[in-house]
Amino acid sequence: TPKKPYTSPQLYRVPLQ
Amino acid sequence: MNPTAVYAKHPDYVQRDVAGECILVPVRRSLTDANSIYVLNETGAALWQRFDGAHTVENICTSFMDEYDVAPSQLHQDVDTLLADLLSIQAIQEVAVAHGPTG
Repeated sequence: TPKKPYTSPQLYRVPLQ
Repeated sequence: MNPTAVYAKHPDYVQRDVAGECILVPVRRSLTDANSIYVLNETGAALWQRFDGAHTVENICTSFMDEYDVAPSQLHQDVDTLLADLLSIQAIQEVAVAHGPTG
């Protein structure tokens, strides 16, 4: 199985509701 | 990063998948803490799923490299950053792992 392309993990904060 | 550390998702957060995005929502907290939600991208969500309280960071990185095309040094650096981010919002917690007798 070919490996999936990698992007750096990101955590976004969404202020708020 | 401690490669032998084990992390688990904090019960104060629930995960919802909305429109293909992984959203973390704080619950059971004071309103001042609950005024934000958090969104993980695809690789962030894949790592988040693996923090199950059973696998070490090293185990997670190894299995992740089998699935994704990434250099070990890059992955370790990114996991280190993600762990710091998740710990800062208390979305994960380190769990103690009982070690059996060595003798």
